[in-house]
Amino acid sequence: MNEDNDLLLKQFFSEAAQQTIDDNGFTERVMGRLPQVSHGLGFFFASQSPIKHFSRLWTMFCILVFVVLFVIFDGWQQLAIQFEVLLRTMSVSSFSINLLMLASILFGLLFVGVEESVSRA
Amino acid sequence: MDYHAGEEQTVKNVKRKKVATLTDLSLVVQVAVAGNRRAFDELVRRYQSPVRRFFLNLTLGDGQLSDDLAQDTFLKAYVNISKFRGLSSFQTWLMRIAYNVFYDYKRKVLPQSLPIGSEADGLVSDYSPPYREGAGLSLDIYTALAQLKPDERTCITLQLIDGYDIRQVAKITGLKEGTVKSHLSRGKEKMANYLKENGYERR
Repeated sequence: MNEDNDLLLKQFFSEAAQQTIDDNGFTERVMGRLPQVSHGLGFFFASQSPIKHFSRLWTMFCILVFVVLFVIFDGWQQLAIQFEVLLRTMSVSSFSINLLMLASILFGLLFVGVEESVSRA
Repeated sequence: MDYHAGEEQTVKNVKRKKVATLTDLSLVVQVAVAGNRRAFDELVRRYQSPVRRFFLNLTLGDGQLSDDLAQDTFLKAYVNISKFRGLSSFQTWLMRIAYNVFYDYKRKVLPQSLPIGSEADGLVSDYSPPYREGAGLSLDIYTALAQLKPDERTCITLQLIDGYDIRQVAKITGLKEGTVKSHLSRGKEKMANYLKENGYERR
Protein backbone atom coordinates (compact mmCIF):
# COMPACT_ATOMS: atom_id res chain seq x y z
CA MET A 1 0.00 0.00 0.00
CA ASN A 2 2.72 2.43 1.06
CA GLU A 3 4.87 1.43 -1.89
CA ASP A 4 1.95 2.07 -4.23
CA ASN A 5 1.47 5.50 -2.69
CA ASP A 6 5.19 6.24 -2.97
CA LEU A 7 5.19 5.31 -6.66
CA LEU A 8 2.08 7.37 -7.27
CA LEU A 9 3.60 10.42 -5.58
CA LYS A 10 6.96 9.96 -7.28
CA GLN A 11 5.23 9.95 -10.63
CA PHE A 12 3.06 12.93 -9.71
CA PHE A 13 6.05 15.00 -8.60
CA SER A 14 8.47 13.86 -11.31
CA GLU A 15 7.71 16.85 -13.54
CA ALA A 16 8.14 19.32 -10.68
CA ALA A 17 11.41 17.64 -9.66
CA GLN A 18 12.86 18.29 -13.11
CA GLN A 19 11.66 21.88 -13.28
CA THR A 20 14.50 24.37 -13.70
CA ILE A 21 13.76 28.03 -13.22
CA ASP A 22 15.51 30.38 -15.65
CA ASP A 23 17.58 33.09 -14.05
CA ASN A 24 15.89 35.97 -15.94
CA GLY A 25 17.96 38.65 -14.21
CA PHE A 26 17.44 37.24 -10.70
CA THR A 27 21.20 37.00 -10.02
CA GLU A 28 21.75 40.60 -11.14
CA ARG A 29 18.97 41.77 -8.80
CA VAL A 30 20.55 39.90 -5.88
CA MET A 31 24.03 41.22 -6.68
CA GLY A 32 22.62 44.74 -6.92
CA ARG A 33 21.18 44.46 -3.41
CA LEU A 34 24.26 43.00 -1.69
CA PRO A 35 25.10 45.01 1.42
CA GLN A 36 28.56 46.44 2.08
CA VAL A 37 29.91 43.63 4.21
CA SER A 38 33.64 43.29 4.54
CA HIS A 39 34.69 39.67 4.56
CA GLY A 40 38.16 38.42 5.46
CA LEU A 41 40.93 41.03 5.18
CA GLY A 42 38.41 43.65 4.09
CA PHE A 43 37.30 43.63 7.74
CA PHE A 44 40.23 45.91 8.63
CA PHE A 45 39.53 48.43 5.92
CA ALA A 46 35.74 48.67 6.00
CA SER A 47 34.08 52.02 6.69
CA GLN A 48 33.24 52.14 10.39
CA SER A 49 33.15 54.41 13.42
CA PRO A 50 36.43 56.26 14.24
CA ILE A 51 36.84 54.36 17.54
CA LYS A 52 36.50 50.97 15.86
CA HIS A 53 38.77 52.09 13.06
CA PHE A 54 41.43 53.25 15.54
CA SER A 55 41.03 50.06 17.55
CA ARG A 56 41.62 47.93 14.47
CA LEU A 57 44.57 50.01 13.35
CA TRP A 58 46.07 49.67 16.83
CA THR A 59 45.57 45.89 16.70
CA MET A 60 47.29 45.74 13.31
CA PHE A 61 50.13 47.89 14.66
CA CYS A 62 50.59 45.62 17.70
CA ILE A 63 50.59 42.50 15.54
CA LEU A 64 53.14 44.08 13.23
CA VAL A 65 55.40 45.08 16.15
CA PHE A 66 55.10 41.58 17.58
CA VAL A 67 56.07 39.94 14.30
CA VAL A 68 59.04 42.31 13.78
CA LEU A 69 60.35 41.78 17.34
CA PHE A 70 59.80 38.04 17.05
CA VAL A 71 61.94 37.92 13.94
CA ILE A 72 64.63 40.36 15.22
CA PHE A 73 65.11 38.57 18.54
CA ASP A 74 64.97 35.14 16.97
CA GLY A 75 61.73 34.20 18.73
CA TRP A 76 61.64 30.57 17.66
CA GLN A 77 65.10 30.00 19.12
CA GLN A 78 64.09 31.65 22.42
CA LEU A 79 60.94 29.60 22.61
CA ALA A 80 62.80 26.38 21.87
CA ILE A 81 65.36 27.13 24.60
CA GLN A 82 62.67 28.00 27.13
CA PHE A 83 60.76 24.85 26.27
CA GLU A 84 63.86 22.69 26.63
CA VAL A 85 64.69 24.27 30.00
CA LEU A 86 61.12 23.74 31.11
CA LEU A 87 61.25 20.06 30.17
CA ARG A 88 64.64 19.49 31.83
CA THR A 89 63.76 21.26 35.10
CA MET A 90 60.16 20.16 35.35
CA SER A 91 60.90 17.18 37.55
CA VAL A 92 63.19 19.04 39.99
CA SER A 93 61.73 22.54 40.20
CA SER A 94 59.12 23.47 42.74
CA PHE A 95 55.95 25.23 41.69
CA SER A 96 56.18 29.02 41.81
CA ILE A 97 54.28 31.89 40.26
CA ASN A 98 56.24 34.31 38.13
CA LEU A 99 54.55 37.63 38.81
CA LEU A 100 56.03 39.29 35.75
CA MET A 101 54.68 36.55 33.50
CA LEU A 102 51.31 36.62 35.24
CA ALA A 103 51.11 40.41 34.75
CA SER A 104 51.97 40.01 31.06
CA ILE A 105 49.24 37.42 30.56
CA LEU A 106 46.69 39.55 32.42
CA PHE A 107 47.66 42.59 30.35
CA GLY A 108 47.24 40.54 27.16
CA LEU A 109 43.80 39.30 28.24
CA LEU A 110 42.79 42.84 29.20
CA PHE A 111 43.86 44.07 25.77
CA VAL A 112 41.86 41.34 24.01
CA GLY A 113 38.85 42.03 26.24
CA VAL A 114 38.88 45.77 25.58
CA GLU A 115 39.29 45.15 21.85
CA GLU A 116 36.35 42.73 21.91
CA SER A 117 34.12 45.17 23.85
CA VAL A 118 35.00 48.00 21.47
CA SER A 119 34.27 45.89 18.41
CA ARG A 120 30.89 44.82 19.81
CA ALA A 121 29.90 48.39 20.79
CA MET B 1 34.21 52.72 -28.14
CA ASP B 2 32.19 49.66 -29.23
CA TYR B 3 35.41 47.74 -29.63
CA HIS B 4 36.39 48.47 -25.98
CA ALA B 5 32.93 47.56 -24.71
CA GLY B 6 33.10 44.29 -26.62
CA GLU B 7 36.58 43.56 -25.29
CA GLU B 8 35.43 44.28 -21.74
CA GLN B 9 32.49 41.92 -22.18
CA THR B 10 34.81 39.19 -23.49
CA VAL B 11 37.12 39.59 -20.48
CA LYS B 12 34.10 39.38 -18.19
CA ASN B 13 32.89 36.22 -19.91
CA VAL B 14 36.31 34.58 -19.66
CA LYS B 15 36.49 35.41 -15.94
CA ARG B 16 32.95 34.11 -15.42
CA LYS B 17 33.82 30.85 -17.18
CA LYS B 18 36.90 30.47 -15.00
CA VAL B 19 34.84 30.99 -11.84
CA ALA B 20 32.17 28.58 -13.11
CA THR B 21 34.65 25.68 -12.98
CA LEU B 22 35.37 26.12 -9.25
CA THR B 23 33.78 23.97 -6.55
CA ASP B 24 31.26 25.42 -4.11
CA LEU B 25 33.82 25.32 -1.31
CA SER B 26 36.42 27.25 -3.33
CA LEU B 27 33.81 29.87 -4.18
CA VAL B 28 32.73 30.17 -0.53
CA VAL B 29 36.36 30.59 0.55
CA GLN B 30 36.88 33.29 -2.09
CA VAL B 31 33.83 35.19 -0.84
CA ALA B 32 34.63 34.74 2.85
CA VAL B 33 38.35 35.49 2.69
CA ALA B 34 38.80 37.86 -0.23
CA GLY B 35 35.28 39.29 -0.46
CA ASN B 36 35.14 38.16 -4.11
CA ARG B 37 31.73 39.23 -5.39
CA ARG B 38 32.14 37.39 -8.70
CA ALA B 39 32.44 34.14 -6.73
CA PHE B 40 29.18 34.91 -4.94
CA ASP B 41 27.56 35.78 -8.26
CA GLU B 42 28.42 32.26 -9.43
CA LEU B 43 26.95 30.72 -6.27
CA VAL B 44 23.68 32.63 -6.81
CA ARG B 45 23.58 31.49 -10.46
CA ARG B 46 24.13 27.87 -9.40
CA TYR B 47 21.48 27.77 -6.71
CA GLN B 48 18.82 30.30 -7.71
CA SER B 49 16.71 27.60 -9.36
CA PRO B 50 16.44 25.12 -6.44
CA VAL B 51 15.94 27.93 -3.91
CA ARG B 52 13.23 29.68 -5.95
CA ARG B 53 11.54 26.35 -6.71
CA PHE B 54 11.54 25.51 -2.98
CA PHE B 55 9.80 28.81 -2.21
CA LEU B 56 7.36 28.38 -5.11
CA ASN B 57 6.26 25.07 -3.61
CA LEU B 58 5.97 26.48 -0.09
CA THR B 59 4.01 29.53 -1.26
CA LEU B 60 1.91 27.41 -3.63
CA GLY B 61 3.11 29.15 -6.76
CA ASP B 62 3.35 32.79 -5.66
CA GLY B 63 6.17 33.88 -8.00
CA GLN B 64 6.65 37.41 -6.67
CA LEU B 65 6.75 36.34 -3.03
CA SER B 66 9.06 33.44 -3.87
CA ASP B 67 11.54 35.74 -5.59
CA ASP B 68 11.49 38.18 -2.67
CA LEU B 69 12.12 35.37 -0.18
CA ALA B 70 14.84 33.89 -2.40
CA GLN B 71 16.57 37.28 -2.56
CA ASP B 72 16.47 37.55 1.24
CA THR B 73 17.94 34.05 1.46
CA PHE B 74 20.92 34.93 -0.73
CA LEU B 75 21.48 38.24 1.08
CA LYS B 76 21.54 36.40 4.43
CA ALA B 77 23.87 33.78 2.98
CA TYR B 78 26.23 36.53 1.80
CA VAL B 79 26.28 38.33 5.14
CA ASN B 80 26.82 35.09 7.09
CA ILE B 81 29.03 33.23 4.64
CA SER B 82 31.97 33.23 7.04
CA LYS B 83 29.82 31.11 9.40
CA PHE B 84 29.68 28.29 6.82
CA ARG B 85 31.81 25.53 8.34
CA GLY B 86 31.58 22.99 5.53
CA LEU B 87 30.00 20.36 7.80
CA SER B 88 27.23 19.94 5.23
CA SER B 89 27.11 20.85 1.55
CA PHE B 90 26.70 24.51 0.63
CA GLN B 91 23.29 23.72 -0.87
CA THR B 92 22.04 22.15 2.38
CA TRP B 93 23.33 25.16 4.33
CA LEU B 94 21.58 27.49 1.88
CA MET B 95 18.31 25.57 2.10
CA ARG B 96 18.48 25.80 5.89
CA ILE B 97 18.67 29.60 5.53
CA ALA B 98 15.79 29.48 3.02
CA TYR B 99 13.69 27.47 5.47
CA ASN B 100 14.37 30.00 8.25
CA VAL B 101 13.59 32.93 5.94
CA PHE B 102 10.24 31.34 5.07
CA TYR B 103 9.31 30.74 8.71
CA ASP B 104 10.42 34.26 9.72
CA TYR B 105 8.14 35.56 6.99
CA LYS B 106 5.27 33.38 8.21
CA ARG B 107 5.74 34.60 11.77
CA LYS B 108 5.59 38.20 10.57
CA VAL B 109 2.43 37.83 8.50
CA LEU B 110 0.53 35.49 10.80
CA PRO B 111 -1.46 36.85 13.74
CA GLN B 112 0.22 36.04 17.07
CA SER B 113 -2.59 33.73 18.15
CA LEU B 114 -2.20 31.31 15.24
CA PRO B 115 0.52 28.72 15.66
CA ILE B 116 2.62 27.97 12.59
CA GLY B 117 1.31 24.87 10.89
CA SER B 118 -2.28 25.40 11.97
CA GLU B 119 -5.01 24.86 9.40
CA ALA B 120 -5.71 28.60 9.35
CA ASP B 121 -2.28 29.62 8.09
CA GLY B 122 -3.71 30.90 4.84
CA LEU B 123 -1.89 28.37 2.69
CA VAL B 124 -4.18 25.37 3.03
CA SER B 125 -7.25 23.91 1.41
CA ASP B 126 -9.23 27.15 0.96
CA TYR B 127 -6.40 28.57 -1.12
CA SER B 128 -6.98 30.23 -4.48
CA PRO B 129 -3.95 30.35 -6.77
CA PRO B 130 -2.11 33.68 -7.04
CA TYR B 131 0.20 34.53 -9.94
CA ARG B 132 1.64 31.23 -11.15
CA GLU B 133 5.29 30.73 -11.94
CA GLY B 134 6.68 27.87 -14.03
CA ALA B 135 4.83 27.65 -17.31
CA GLY B 136 4.12 24.10 -18.43
CA LEU B 137 4.17 22.74 -14.88
CA SER B 138 0.94 21.08 -13.93
CA LEU B 139 -1.20 23.41 -11.83
CA ASP B 140 -2.42 20.43 -9.85
CA ILE B 141 0.82 20.28 -7.92
CA TYR B 142 0.19 23.50 -6.02
CA THR B 143 -3.47 22.59 -5.47
CA ALA B 144 -2.37 19.22 -4.15
CA LEU B 145 0.33 20.75 -1.93
CA ALA B 146 -2.32 23.08 -0.53
CA GLN B 147 -3.96 20.07 1.13
CA LEU B 148 -1.00 19.74 3.48
CA LYS B 149 0.01 21.55 6.65
CA PRO B 150 3.13 23.71 6.20
CA ASP B 151 5.49 21.28 7.97
CA GLU B 152 4.17 18.37 5.94
CA ARG B 153 4.44 20.45 2.76
CA THR B 154 8.03 21.40 3.58
CA CYS B 155 9.09 17.79 4.21
CA ILE B 156 7.25 16.46 1.13
CA THR B 157 8.72 19.22 -1.05
CA LEU B 158 12.26 18.65 0.20
CA GLN B 159 12.09 14.89 -0.24
CA LEU B 160 9.94 14.30 -3.33
CA ILE B 161 10.80 17.39 -5.39
CA ASP B 162 14.24 18.49 -4.20
CA GLY B 163 15.49 14.94 -3.60
CA TYR B 164 16.88 15.21 -0.05
CA ASP B 165 16.94 12.16 2.21
CA ILE B 166 15.39 12.16 5.69
CA ARG B 167 18.65 13.05 7.43
CA GLN B 168 19.16 16.08 5.18
CA VAL B 169 15.53 17.16 5.57
CA ALA B 170 16.02 17.02 9.34
CA LYS B 171 19.19 19.11 9.02
CA ILE B 172 17.48 21.74 6.88
CA THR B 173 14.35 22.04 9.00
CA GLY B 174 15.99 21.55 12.37
CA LEU B 175 13.36 18.89 13.16
CA LYS B 176 14.15 15.47 14.62
CA GLU B 177 14.36 12.63 12.10
CA GLY B 178 11.38 10.92 13.78
CA THR B 179 9.28 14.08 13.39
CA VAL B 180 10.29 14.37 9.74
CA LYS B 181 9.30 10.74 9.18
CA SER B 182 5.86 11.28 10.70
CA HIS B 183 5.30 14.50 8.68
CA LEU B 184 6.28 12.59 5.54
CA SER B 185 4.07 9.65 6.36
CA ARG B 186 1.01 11.82 7.09
CA GLY B 187 1.69 14.09 4.13
CA LYS B 188 2.12 11.21 1.70
CA GLU B 189 -1.08 9.59 2.86
CA LYS B 190 -3.04 12.82 2.46
CA MET B 191 -1.54 13.47 -0.96
CA ALA B 192 -2.15 9.93 -2.20
CA ASN B 193 -5.78 10.03 -1.01
CA TYR B 194 -6.27 13.42 -2.64
CA LEU B 195 -4.81 12.21 -5.95
CA LYS B 196 -6.91 9.05 -5.95
CA GLU B 197 -10.09 10.96 -5.07
CA ASN B 198 -9.40 13.31 -7.97
CA GLY B 199 -8.89 10.53 -10.46
CA TYR B 200 -5.12 10.76 -10.79
CA GLU B 201 -3.95 7.24 -11.55
CA ARG B 202 -0.49 5.88 -12.07
CA ARG B 203 0.31 5.73 -15.76
